[in-house]
Amino acid sequence: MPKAIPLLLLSGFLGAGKTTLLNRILQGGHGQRIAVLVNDFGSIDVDRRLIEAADGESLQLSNGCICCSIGSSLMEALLRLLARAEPPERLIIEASGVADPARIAAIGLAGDAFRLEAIVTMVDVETVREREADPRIGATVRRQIEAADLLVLSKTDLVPADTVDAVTAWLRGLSPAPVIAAVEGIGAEALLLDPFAALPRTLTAGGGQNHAELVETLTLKPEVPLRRERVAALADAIARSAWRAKGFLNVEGEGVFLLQVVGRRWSLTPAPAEAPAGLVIIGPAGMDAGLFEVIVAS
Amino acid sequence: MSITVFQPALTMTMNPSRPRASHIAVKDGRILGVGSLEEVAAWGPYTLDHSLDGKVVMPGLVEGHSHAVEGGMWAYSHVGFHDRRGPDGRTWPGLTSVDAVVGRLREAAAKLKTAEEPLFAWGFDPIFFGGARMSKADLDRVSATRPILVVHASGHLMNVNSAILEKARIDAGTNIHGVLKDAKGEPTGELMEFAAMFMAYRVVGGDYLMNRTSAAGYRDFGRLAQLAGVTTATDLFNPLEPPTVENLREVTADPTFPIRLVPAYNAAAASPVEGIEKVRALMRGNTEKLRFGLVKLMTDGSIQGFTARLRWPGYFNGRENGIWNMAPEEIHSHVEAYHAAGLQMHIHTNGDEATEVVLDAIEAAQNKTPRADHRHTFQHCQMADAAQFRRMAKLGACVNLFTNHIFYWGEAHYAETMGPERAERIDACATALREGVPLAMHSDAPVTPIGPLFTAWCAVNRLTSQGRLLGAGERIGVEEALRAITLGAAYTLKLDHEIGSIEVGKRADLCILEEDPTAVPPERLKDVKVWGTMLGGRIFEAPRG
Repeated sequence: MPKAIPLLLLSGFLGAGKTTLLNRILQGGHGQRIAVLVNDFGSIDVDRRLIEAADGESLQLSNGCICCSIGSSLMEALLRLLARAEPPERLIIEASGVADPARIAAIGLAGDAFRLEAIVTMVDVETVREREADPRIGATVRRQIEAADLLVLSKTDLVPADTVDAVTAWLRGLSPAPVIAAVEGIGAEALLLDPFAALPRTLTAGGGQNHAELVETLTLKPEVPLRRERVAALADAIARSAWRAKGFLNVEGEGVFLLQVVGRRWSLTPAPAEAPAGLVIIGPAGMDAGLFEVIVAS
Repeated sequence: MSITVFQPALTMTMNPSRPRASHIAVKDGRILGVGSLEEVAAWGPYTLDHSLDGKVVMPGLVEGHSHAVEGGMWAYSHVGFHDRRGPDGRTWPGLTSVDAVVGRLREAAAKLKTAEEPLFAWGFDPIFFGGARMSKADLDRVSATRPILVVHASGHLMNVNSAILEKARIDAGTNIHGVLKDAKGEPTGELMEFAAMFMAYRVVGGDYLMNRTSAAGYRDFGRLAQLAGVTTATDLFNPLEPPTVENLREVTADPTFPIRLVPAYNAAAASPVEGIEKVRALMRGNTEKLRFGLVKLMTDGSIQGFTARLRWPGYFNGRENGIWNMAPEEIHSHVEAYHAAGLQMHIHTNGDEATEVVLDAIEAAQNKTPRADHRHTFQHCQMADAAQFRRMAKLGACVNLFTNHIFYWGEAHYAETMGPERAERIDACATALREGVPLAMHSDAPVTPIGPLFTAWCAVNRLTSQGRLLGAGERIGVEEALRAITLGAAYTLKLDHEIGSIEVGKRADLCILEEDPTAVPPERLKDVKVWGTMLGGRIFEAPRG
């Protein structure tokens, strides 16, 4: 059996900015062969020079990414994707604007085809409150927020900072997932795909613009192998207070593992023995860095 | 071309100016004359064809809401509760116990070429099994090593055997919603919800899903329709990807393919801008037997699945309101765009809240871009009340009601989903006609079997599968029901100038019956035998199953 493909489920109501983020990911210089399954294939807008092949239902890009239309059936789109000669290194599924992301994400929680990295729900700060209060769609919007491992605010540049703060506070009442802000997808993309390259200046905490000083990045390099339950405790602590972590840890008696934390979800998968040990953690300033150190050291 | 005259025992034309006739003259695939022999003979030399002697002829039936994927499903075993006829005309008796299902699967397994080939079956419907459920042990009696996958009639549930569970690594430790487990915590083999069903499809491959849009599948759909007296059928939800379109072209170009096919583009497959462009391009390749142009929108789910969007007071048993397939604002923007582009939409609404949103959307689109005779059609529209039908009439919309529901799910609607009062007005044909909404009715095949005479029987008798009369006040007459499955449905497809009645100049499309449907007692309407059909002057005799 081939290795499970890491899965990111991108959720969010209409106009929340999913497509903007996906367009950036597809043409990003992240060096990963990412497959993206999208609902609105026509809104995918990438630099034409990157397109190696296109057939109206899928795009093959020169950076190794592919983008496929979900069309009528996500089931069939997934089966077709798995039947391709070269499976992607990572899969991103764009849930439809009215989908319950948890139902789809469950394909990464059992079996060995996919491994769920996170459900990321994008939230349009301008309209989310109004939509949540609409009796026709409120339940749909709430389900998307409640299912999220990480909430990404969009359109924060279009509203006053106190609106961002108010929406952030309201979201915290609905979900324990961390809330980050991203203008036009900047920052969120790097954070999700390659936290080593995620620059704090492109990220802001939930509190709107010009809060770059509220972001903190730290690196942990345990000097000795950690017992598995230590690693789990560390991952839990990171998931509680940081946004994202990625790195390799030596697990006592088991070898080197890749630890991934996205919002409140983490996973530990075997990695090559030569992988350089060290864990990068990104989160709000004031996250409990001391606790991480204590867990690692004890 | 020469003139051929047919002389059935009776011709019912659906043309009020000449409702019945003794002879039909056909030339170049079209109706040249309808009347007495003397009248039609005046057109010139003719050949008198005796193949319809003694038969009763009516316009070819029109199925305004079906899905051609049913054809491809017949490559696999049908294991439903009710009798169902396959494309070869053979009737597969309904299976009313788990043992009966196991028996049919054993027969099917014996015909497979290798011991590894997966066995697929569909249409399983245990609702009247008195609570008994099928388990992996039952399917293991067929084979514990060959993968076996049985899809339920609802499409939202499946049963698999141990071979699939093992390959998919579904066991006691699998903790996702949708893997049903027994008292000991072991999976029972029943899988529901997207993720659990994905795990099963992944190990057996998607053939069962993918083969449904094959050329062979479309050919079989044509046969199924023709057996039921249908000469024009819709394929009402198709993303129309290039390979599918190729298959549709190939199949309909064959003179032996017995129906005209009207595919509706699935508007969820792309944005309206692209959808409009795609449908317009496809329309340029339309032929007599393949008619692109319709656009299908799916707004909510199903009533029996509790996914339809209902207005107050919601579901009778208190279940949470259903789910949207498109958000209301998306419904508005799509309706506006396709309406402004001059295309005709067929819009799925099951619950009355979905119907209300679509009424609002059409009204807004009409106000913005007034358009004569758009004929946007509400599909299913099962819970609409009189006020909603009045709005439909004012807006120039049509309705195609799912009357087969009365028989198949009427009991559930009465007891669980809608409660007595609303269940009695389900698929309110009489109200629609009274309020002046152009009416068609449908099977939604493969959800229920294609068979417009049965569909008409449901509208006339309104009996559930348990024999309950559901909404006596919404019954309509046989003549009205027969009009709905011919000219009524043709009108909703904007093909009423071409098909739907037997009139000079229209296509020679006929439904050929063994007896007069207006002469049999109304409760026997569904039992009237279809002898065959005529499509564009060519006779297709139905195989005797």
